[in-house]
Amino acid sequence: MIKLTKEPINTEVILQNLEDKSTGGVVLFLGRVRDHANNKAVTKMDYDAYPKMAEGKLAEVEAETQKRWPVKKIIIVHRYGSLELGDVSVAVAVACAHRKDAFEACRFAIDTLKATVPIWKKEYFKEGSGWVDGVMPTMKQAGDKTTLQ
Amino acid sequence: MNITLRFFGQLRELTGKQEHEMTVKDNILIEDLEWLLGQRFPQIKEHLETSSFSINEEYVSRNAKVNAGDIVGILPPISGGAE
Repeated sequence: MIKLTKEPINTEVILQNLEDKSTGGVVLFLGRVRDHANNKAVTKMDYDAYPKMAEGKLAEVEAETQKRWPVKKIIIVHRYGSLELGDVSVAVAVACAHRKDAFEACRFAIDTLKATVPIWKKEYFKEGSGWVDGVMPTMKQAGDKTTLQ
Repeated sequence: MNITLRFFGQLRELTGKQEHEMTVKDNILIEDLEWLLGQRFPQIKEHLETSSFSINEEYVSRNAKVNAGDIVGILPPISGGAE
């Protein structure tokens, strides 16, 4: 399940939705708004997104992760809009039969998300603000049969 | 033909536009559209080189063709996820 939302991310609900008696390993990764960047105090963070495209790319991350690991359940949620310090901006939760697969699949999903999903961060400091240096997305074009890196 | 441009992040701020209708020659290539955008919006010219493009919500390369009615996204380097 994937979701792009402006609402706060509820980790309890995510864990409830991962319930599956065949899974012995559950990994939940949370990304939160940090209070500093490059030795400067951050006061809040805005996230801009291309919603329809971001949902499509999140679904690709989900599908690719399921293809590579024996994932029983996977939930990826990314928040956008205006976030305060400590707010959860992204959650990736994976349930597998064994922990090794769960850790690896979760790591792959968050790293691939970062390289492919069109979302942009703007940091606010005590004085001024600035868009966070990003990465050129890993291209996976329409009709392209190659898998994500 | 008419196409719709969508700007995001810093590009949206610099152009002051989220969406912009534009008339271009038929079957224009993304690389030619990139040049046109640099002329039309000089304030983002230096950012276009490091930007990516999408057509109808899929990433495309500079040699992709744009069709009438397409929605072209101009996407600065992405920074979602978490460090």
